[in-house]
Amino acid sequence: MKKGIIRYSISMILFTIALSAQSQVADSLKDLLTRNLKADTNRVKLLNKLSAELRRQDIQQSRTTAEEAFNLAQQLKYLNGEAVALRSIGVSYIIQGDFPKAGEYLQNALRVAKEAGNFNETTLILTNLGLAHSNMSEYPKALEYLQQALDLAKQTGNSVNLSLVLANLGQINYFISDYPKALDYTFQSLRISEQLGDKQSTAQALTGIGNIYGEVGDHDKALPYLEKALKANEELGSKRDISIVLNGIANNYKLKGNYSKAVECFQRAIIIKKELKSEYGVGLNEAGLADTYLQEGNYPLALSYAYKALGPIQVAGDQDKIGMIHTVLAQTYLKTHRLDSALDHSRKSLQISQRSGHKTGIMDASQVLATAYAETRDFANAYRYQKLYTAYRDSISSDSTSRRIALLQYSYDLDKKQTEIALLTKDQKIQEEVNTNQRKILYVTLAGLAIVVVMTLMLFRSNRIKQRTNLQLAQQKMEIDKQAKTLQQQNKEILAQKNDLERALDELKSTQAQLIQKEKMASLGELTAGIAHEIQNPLNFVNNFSELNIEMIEEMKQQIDKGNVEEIKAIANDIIENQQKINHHGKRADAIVKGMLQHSRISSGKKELTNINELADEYLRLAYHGMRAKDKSFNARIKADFDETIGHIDVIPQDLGRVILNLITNAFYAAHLPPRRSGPDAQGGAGNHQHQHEPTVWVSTKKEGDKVLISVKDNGPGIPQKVLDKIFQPFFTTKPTGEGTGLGLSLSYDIIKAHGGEIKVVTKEGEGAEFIILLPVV
Amino acid sequence: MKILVVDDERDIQTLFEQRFRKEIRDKLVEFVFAFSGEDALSYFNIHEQEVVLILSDINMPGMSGLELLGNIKHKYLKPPPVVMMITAYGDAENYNMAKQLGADDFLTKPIDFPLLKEKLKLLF
Repeated sequence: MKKGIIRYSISMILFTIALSAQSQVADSLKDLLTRNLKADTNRVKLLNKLSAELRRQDIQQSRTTAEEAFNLAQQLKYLNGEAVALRSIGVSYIIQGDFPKAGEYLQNALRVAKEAGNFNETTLILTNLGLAHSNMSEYPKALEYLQQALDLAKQTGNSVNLSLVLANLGQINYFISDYPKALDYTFQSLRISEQLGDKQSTAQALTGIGNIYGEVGDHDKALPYLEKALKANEELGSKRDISIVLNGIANNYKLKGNYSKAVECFQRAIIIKKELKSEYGVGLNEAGLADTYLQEGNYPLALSYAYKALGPIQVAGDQDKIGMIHTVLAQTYLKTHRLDSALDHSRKSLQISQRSGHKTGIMDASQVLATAYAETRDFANAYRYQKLYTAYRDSISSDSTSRRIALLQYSYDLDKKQTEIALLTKDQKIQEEVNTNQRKILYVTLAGLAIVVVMTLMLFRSNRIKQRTNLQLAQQKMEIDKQAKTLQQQNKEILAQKNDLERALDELKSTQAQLIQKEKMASLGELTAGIAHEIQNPLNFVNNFSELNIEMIEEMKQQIDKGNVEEIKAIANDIIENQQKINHHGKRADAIVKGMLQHSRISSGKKELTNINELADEYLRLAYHGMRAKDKSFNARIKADFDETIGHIDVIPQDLGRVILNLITNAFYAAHLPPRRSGPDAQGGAGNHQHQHEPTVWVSTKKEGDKVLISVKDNGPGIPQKVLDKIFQPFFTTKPTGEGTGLGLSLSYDIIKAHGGEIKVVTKEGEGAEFIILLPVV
Repeated sequence: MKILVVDDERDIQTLFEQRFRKEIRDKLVEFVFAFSGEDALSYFNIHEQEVVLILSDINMPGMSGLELLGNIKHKYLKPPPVVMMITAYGDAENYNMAKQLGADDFLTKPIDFPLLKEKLKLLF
């Protein structure tokens, strides 16, 4: 603890020194401005410089200064000044988190900069546009802008800008999880900023590299880079960057298991965030503390910090973090045997994670649920969530394995390139030495010739000199040969390493393939177990009733001997009834097998451009006629509402048609059920009018942004809450036995998922249900 | 003796009533049928003292047989009735769970009626 305090105090001192150095720059600029009140381009430049300086301290001031600069520049028709000012305003919005506004100002700035032919500004603006879009998670757009910026920076040969663009490219590739690219770009940026002596960019690049290694799980590589970044940021005195790096360091220590260090760093980050008045930042670090204390086993503190963090994180709307906090709470409650709270929070977390598709969140929540249910002896649910957990764990680990392999490959390539470069430079050096030696030989020989003309003694001496030089040359040649040999040795070692890596890669690939195969077999096995069980029921009845009938017929024979006609007739009726049951169950088994064959046929089928409205209409008719064929008295009101602007989208028509058919058939079935008594009909007491239930099904399509919505709604009894999360499971059905295989919705779910869409249900008991399919258009 | 049979398949009733025809006729045994865990529990609440044996399927929609087993064995402290699980799932996991929850016996489908009759004779 003492060490921590000392380190902290020292860093505080450095930090205040750096900070005062910074405000010195700002103060001197302000000073200049009060002294130069002349409204000229110089003033605009000063204002813009001041705005940039203030960025790290006071965002509001930074913006108002830039606005002042812009107004003045407009008056003076000073385009460059306008462009810089507009960019400064845009950046201020980025820092505050208002990315759409930032985009507006930056687009304006871009226009002006291009008009002014200012390549430098254009590059910076493009970079900031990339940053704004990446903060809105619009990564393709961000990469587009940054690529333009990169080309421009290379064209103009501006190293400072080049380094900045490369750093941003690195960051975005990090967000889209392309870690080799991210590392590549960031290293490039680091090299340039180190050459230029640009401390800030160096610090950011170091942070970026540290985060990438941390993300892939290589904490031992991550920490040294992050510690370097922290030192660099402390020298620069940038509060925000310091707190960000501290958070990164703390997380890596936490994952390594060094909890005391993790707590220390989180606390430091919290102090800075409080100074910066960033509630969200404080919350993030408190969440980290909660997790650290949980790992350490300090449950009271874990709970306390988790609840503290929840407020600001919810306000900021960071879904992934909200889910993570609920998981931490759930795990803590689990450890302290408060099972109801554990179940409550882990369910919340699962819901949130599933909504945002956050794999790790789903995995963690499932694990807690499985353990909690096992402790409450609800083994069915425990088993179910355990399966979910292992599925996601395997998927994630194979993801991170392939990421590690990719990164290993990248690092190996990097080392190889560096060795080659080293080898080349050594070759160059050898070549240089050889050249020098040749020159030496030339001079000596000339000198010797001159002396021979004059005196024989001189000749003798020059002969001696020649001999000595020859000796030296011989020695040097030996050394060069030795160096060549060591290089050859190094080459061999690198080759051996390459072979090892290749072998490891092959092993990992085959393990991955095995894992995937196991998963497939597991799901197939589940399905087979499901079918087997489903068929077993009807088969049991076939066997039991046929055995029974054999007995009955024996009895009948006895009764025939006795001549007991009434009894015989009674037995005959029983036998007929039993045979009917045998027939019925036999047909059931048949239907189940047919259903399963359909299920296995999903994977074939090609995508083609299909008119969704036509498809829906066709299957609506099919469903309707199908129902009427089964039951001539069937009648239902159908309301169709198709959006003409949808046109064609890329789907497998037979599969999607099957889904629509299934939903409509279900809707028809539900609409015809008697309305549930808990509906609006029940309330009202005496004298309520009997309103006739008219079975109605609504089918509609609509274009919503980049998605197409297909909706099937019925006015049946609705779906009760406790059944709602089971309806998509295979073999689950609420129809009486023999009337449904329970596979329709499960199949539909798989098909829609395979199309990259989603299917959800909205229902109210007593009023009906609506199934909504969302399909991406792209 | 009154036996409560719980299974979502309705034909189970016909099966039992025919297989135990003689016993039912001679008033040696009386069967009651419930087609869901919830129905079984409501019946049991009312007729607790009369039901001496419960034969229940495991795999049912809504409350499963194991949930029903847990409910009956853990909520009724006066000598609870004998509960036997009848199910198509013959695997070790289900068997162990049923045993842990307090099941008195475990039978697999297809039901071996002669065996069941032997077991009933041993009980009473």
